[in-house]
Amino acid sequence: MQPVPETAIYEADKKAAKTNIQALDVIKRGYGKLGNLGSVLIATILLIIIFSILSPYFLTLNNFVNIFRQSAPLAMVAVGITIVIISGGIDLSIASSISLCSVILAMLIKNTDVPLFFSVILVFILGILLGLFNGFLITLLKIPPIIATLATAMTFSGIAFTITQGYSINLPADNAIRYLGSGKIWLIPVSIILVVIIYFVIQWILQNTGFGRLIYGLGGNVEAVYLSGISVRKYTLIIYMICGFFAAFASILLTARVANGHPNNGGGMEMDAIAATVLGGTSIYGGVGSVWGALFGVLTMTIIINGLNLLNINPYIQVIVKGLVLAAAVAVSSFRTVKR
Amino acid sequence: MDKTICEMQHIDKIFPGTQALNDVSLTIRTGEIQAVIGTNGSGKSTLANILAGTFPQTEGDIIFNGETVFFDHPSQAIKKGVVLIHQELKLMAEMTVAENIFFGRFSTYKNSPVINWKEVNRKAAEILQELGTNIDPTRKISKLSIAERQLVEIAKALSKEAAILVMDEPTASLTFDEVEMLFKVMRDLKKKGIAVIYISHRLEEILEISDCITVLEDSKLVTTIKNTPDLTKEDLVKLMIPKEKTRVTNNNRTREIDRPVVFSAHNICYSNKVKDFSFELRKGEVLGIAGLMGAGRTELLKCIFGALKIKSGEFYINGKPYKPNSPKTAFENRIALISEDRKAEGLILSMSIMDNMLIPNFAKYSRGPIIRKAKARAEVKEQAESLKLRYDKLTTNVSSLSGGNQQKVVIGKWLMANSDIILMDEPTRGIDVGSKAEIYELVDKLSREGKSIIFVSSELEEVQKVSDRIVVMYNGQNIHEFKQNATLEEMVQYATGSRNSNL
Repeated sequence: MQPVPETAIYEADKKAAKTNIQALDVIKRGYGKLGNLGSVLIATILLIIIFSILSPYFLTLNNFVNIFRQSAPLAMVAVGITIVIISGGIDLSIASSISLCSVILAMLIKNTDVPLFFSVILVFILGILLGLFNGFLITLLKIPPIIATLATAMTFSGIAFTITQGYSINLPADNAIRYLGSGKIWLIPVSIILVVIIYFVIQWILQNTGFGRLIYGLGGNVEAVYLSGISVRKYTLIIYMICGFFAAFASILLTARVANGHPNNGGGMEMDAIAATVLGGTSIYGGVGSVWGALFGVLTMTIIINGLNLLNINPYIQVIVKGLVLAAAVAVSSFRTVKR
Repeated sequence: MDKTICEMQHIDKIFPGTQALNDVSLTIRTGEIQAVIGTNGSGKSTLANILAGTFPQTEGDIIFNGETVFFDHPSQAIKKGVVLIHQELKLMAEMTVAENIFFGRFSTYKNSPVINWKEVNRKAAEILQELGTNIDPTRKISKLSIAERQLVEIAKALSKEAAILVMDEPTASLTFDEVEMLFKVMRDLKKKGIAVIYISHRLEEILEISDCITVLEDSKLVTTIKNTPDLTKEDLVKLMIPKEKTRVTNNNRTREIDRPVVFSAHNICYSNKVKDFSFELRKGEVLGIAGLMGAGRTELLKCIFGALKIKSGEFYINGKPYKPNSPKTAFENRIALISEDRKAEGLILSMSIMDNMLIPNFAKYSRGPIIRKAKARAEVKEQAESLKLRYDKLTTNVSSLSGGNQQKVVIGKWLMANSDIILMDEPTRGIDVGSKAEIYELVDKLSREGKSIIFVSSELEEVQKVSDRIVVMYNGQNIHEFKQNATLEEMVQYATGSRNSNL
C-alpha cells in the first residue's frame, strides 16, 4: 500500500481547517452585523416558535395585530427612553408623566370645550415641559439623572392623584380619540402605523443629523464632547424634552385604548421600557444602541405576556417569566461583548 | 553592616511597541535610601512597578535574600515586604485613617467576624506615633492634607511589615515644611533597617536625603553612585543626559520674530497651579512649553481653552480681549485643545473615525439639521489622507486604532474645524516611536501652513526638537524663556528648579 505522504495529509488538514474557519467567519460576521440586535432577534424568534407550538391561537394574523396594538404605547415610551439611555442618562419619571398627561387629556376632553386636536397639542406641550423640568434639575441643579427623575416621578404622580383625587375620568364611548386606539386604515391599526413612522424617523435622525450623532457622543464620552466646544447642557435639555414628548405620545395612545384618564395609567411602564431598551442591545452606560433594538425588545415583552395569556398562565407567573427572559437576554449579549 | 536584601538583575521590560527597560540592574540594601532619577520616560516608574509586582518583567531575575522570585501580582510582592506608594495616593477618601491602614486586615473580637474598632484604632495610633505624628486614626482621609495622607500610606506600608518601601515622587505636591517632615520619617525608617527606593525629579532633595543614586537614561542604567557631599546638581544633570544629546539640535526651523502676535497671555493665575504666567504666540510659530508633570502645564492650557476659569489675568487674540467661559468660546475663537488624556477627553471610543472628526463640526457639514454625508465623508477622507491616518474604513471605531492614529483623529477633528491656535498637551504620550516622528512632522507642516501651536511636553528633548521658542514652566511659573537655542542640560536645570532666571 502506497503510504500517503505526510505533507499531503497536512495540506488536506489545513484546507479543511481553512474552510471551517471561513464558515465560522461567515456566521460570526453575519451575527456581528446584527450587532447588539442579535440577542433580541433570537429571543423574539424563539418565543414565537415556542408559543406557536404550545398554542394554536398564537400564530394567527388576528393575534399578531393584537400584539402590535398592545405594544404601541410601550413602543412610544421606549423610543424616548432609548434616546435618553444612549445619551448616558436615565428617566424614571416617564410612567408618572404618562399618568399625568393621561389625566389632563381626559379632563380636557370631558370637562372643557377645547377641540380634540388642540387638547392633544396641549398634552404634547405638557409632556415636553415635564421633560424640560427633568432636564433643568439635571443640568442646572446638577442632580444625577436617576435621582432627579426619581424625584419627579413621585412629584408628577402625586399631582395626577391630587387633581383626580384618585378617581378615574372615563371618556364617552363615541369620542373621536378612541380612533387612535382602535381605528384602522385598511386592516392596519392606526397606532401601529404611527409607531412604525416614528421609529423610522427617529432612527433616521439618530443616523443622519448632527444632533443624532451628538446623542451617541454624549453617552460615549461627555468630557470629549464638552472639550470639543459643544454645549452639553443645551443638548441634555433637548434630550429630556424629547423623552417627555414621547411620554405624552404614549399617554395619548394609552388613553385612547383604555378610554379613561386614571392616575395609575402607565404605572410600571418605565421599568418595562428600560427593560425593552436594554433587551434591544442599548448599553445602560450609554453611547451604544438603536431604537429598532428597543422595538424588538418591546415586542419580546408583549409576546411573553400575550403567549402566556393564551396558555392561561397565572398573570403573576407572567411577570416572573418576563424578568427571567430579560436577565437571560442581557446575559447573552454581555457575554458576547466580553468575549469580543 | 549594610546587607543586600534584594537584587534586580538585568531586567528587560517590553511593552507593545516600546522597550521600557533595557538590561537594568539594581541592588537594594537594608537601611539605605536609594534614589532613582532620570528624565521622563527613562523607565523609573516601570522599574518601581516591576519591583512591586504591578506587572512582571520580560527578562531578568529578581533575587530576594538569595532566592529567585517572580512577581506577577502586587500581593506576591507585599508578601515579600515590598510596598509601593503611588504618586497619586490610593486611599479611600471617605473612610477613616485607621480603616485605610488596616483595610482587609481588621482585628476582630475573638472567634467572631465583628470588628474590634477600639483595637484597630489603638493599633493605628501606635503606628502613627512611631512615625512621629499625632494624626487622629478616626479622622476621615478627605479631611487630611496631602502630606498627612502620605504618612497614612507609609503607616499602611509599615503595618504590612514592609522591608522595602518604594515611593514614586512622594514630594511632587508637598510644601517645603511637609517635605522636611517626610524626610524625618524616611530617616527614621532607615534606622529601623527599612530599604527605601525614592523616585524623584527634585535633585536638591535627592542630594539631601539619599545614600546612593541610580541614574536611568533612555530605559538603560547609566550608573549607581554613592551620594557624597561634593556631588552637585550639575553632576546629576550631566549623568541624566548623555553627551551626544547635550549639544543643540538644529531643527531646521527659522525663527520668525517679525510675524504678528496672534495670541498673548498676561499674568494668568489659576488656583495655586498657574502663577502670574505670561507669554506671546506668533502666527505660524511653535511655542514649546517645557515642564515636568505637575508644573501646571495642563491647567494653563485648560484655562486658555475655557475648561478651567482663571482667577486673574488677561488673554488677547489678535489684540482683542478674549474671555473664555467654556470650550465653546474657545471653539468659536478657533482655538483647539489636543488633550493630554486622549481616551478620556479627546475621543469617543464607542464611535467611528468619521463621527469623532465631525463632532465639533456638524454645523459646517449639515444642511439644516441633516448631515450632508457625501460632503462630510469626502472631507474626512481628505483630512485622513493628509494626516497619513492608517485606517480600514472611516466607519471603524476609533477604539481599534493605535495610539498614534487615535491622536491623528483628534488633530484631524480640530483641523476640520479650521482652528488657528492649536494647544497640544503631551501629544505623543503613549505613542510608538514611528508615530511620534509623524506627529512632529505634522506639527512642522501645520505651522508652515500658518497655524500657531503651543506644544507642551515633559519630554524636554521633543520640546527642543519641534519648537521655535521655548518657555520653561516650573511650579506654575514662567521660569525662563530661552532667547536663543536651548540645550537639553539648561532645560533640565530650569525644569527641575535647580536654576531660575527670574530670581
